[in-house]
Amino acid sequence: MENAMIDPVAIKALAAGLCMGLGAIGAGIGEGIVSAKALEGTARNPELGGKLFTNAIIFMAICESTAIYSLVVALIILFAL
Amino acid sequence: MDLSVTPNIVFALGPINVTSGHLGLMFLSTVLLIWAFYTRAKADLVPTRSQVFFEAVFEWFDEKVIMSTPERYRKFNFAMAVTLFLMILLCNFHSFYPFLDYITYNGERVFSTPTAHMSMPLALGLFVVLLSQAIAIITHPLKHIANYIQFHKFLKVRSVPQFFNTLIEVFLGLLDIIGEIAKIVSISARLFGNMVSGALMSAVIIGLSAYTQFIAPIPFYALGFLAALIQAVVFALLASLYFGGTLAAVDAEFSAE
Repeated sequence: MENAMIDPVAIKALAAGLCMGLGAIGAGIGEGIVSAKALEGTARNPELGGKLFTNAIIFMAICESTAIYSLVVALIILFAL
Repeated sequence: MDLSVTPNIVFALGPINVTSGHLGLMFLSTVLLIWAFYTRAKADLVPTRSQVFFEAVFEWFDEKVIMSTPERYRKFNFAMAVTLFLMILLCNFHSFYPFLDYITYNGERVFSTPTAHMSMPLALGLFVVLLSQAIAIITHPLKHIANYIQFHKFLKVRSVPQFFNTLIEVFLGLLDIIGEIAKIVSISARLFGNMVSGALMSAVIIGLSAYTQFIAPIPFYALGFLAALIQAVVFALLASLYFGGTLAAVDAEFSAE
C-alpha cells in the first residue's frame, strides 16, 4: 500500500472538486436567505419592490464571493499548483 | 477559448511584456474616452440615449457616495467610483463584443478580457485601499493609527470586567489590520473569479458534447451578461465604500453628523 502510485492529476481533480463543492454550501445558503428576505419585504411592501430587487441582487453578489474564493483556489490547484 | 490563468504575451517592449490584457484595456480605455467626449459634446436638454445612461449612472453613484463619504472627499470618490464602474463594465463585456477575439498577431490573440486576469483587479484593489490609507495617514496620522492600535484604551480601565472588555476591543482593533489586507484580496478575487467562472462554465458546456455546442450555452451567456453588470456595480460600490469608510473614521465632522 505504501508503494502504491498516487496519480497527482487525480488528487488535484479530487481536491478541486471537493474545494468547489464544500465552498459552495455556505454561499448557497446565504444567497437563499438574501432572496427569501427580499421577497418577504416585497410581499409586505410591494412599492419598495424595485429598490429591494436591485439591493438583493447586489448583496447576493457579495454573498457569492465565498464561493468565488473557493473557485479561485480550485483554479490555483488545477492550473498553477 | 483557452483556459489559462496567465494572459498571453503579444510582444515585448524592452523589459516589459505587453500582454493581451494590457492591449484590451488600452483599447477599451480609448473607446470609453471617445464615447465620453462624444456624449459630452452632444449633451443637451433633450438627452440622447447615451446621455441618459451616463446620467443614470451618475445619479445612482451620487446617492451612495453622499451617504458614505465625508464632504471633502466626495468629489474625488464619486469620480473614482464612476470611472471604475464604466471601465470595469466595458472590460467585463469584452467577450460579448463581436470580432475582437479573432484579431491575432503572430498567432496570439491581441485582445482579451482584462478583468479575467488577476493582475487588473488586484491593481485596482491595491490602488483604492492604499490610496485611502495614505490620505488618512497624511491628514490625521495619530487618529488613524489609533483606530487600529488601541492600547490607549487600557488607560481608562477602572474594574476587572472592564479590563477584559477592553482586551477584546484592542484585539479586534488589531484584527482590522488584517481586515484591510483582506479587503484587497476579497474585492479583487471577487471580480476575477466571477469573470473566469462565466467563461469557464460556457467552455465546459460547449466542450461537453457535440449536441450542446449551439443552443445550450445561450442561457449561460445571458447569465454571464448579468454577472458582468453586477460585478462592475459591486466592485465600484465596494471601492467607494472602503474609500469613504476609511476616511469617515478619521474625519471628525463626518462622525459628528
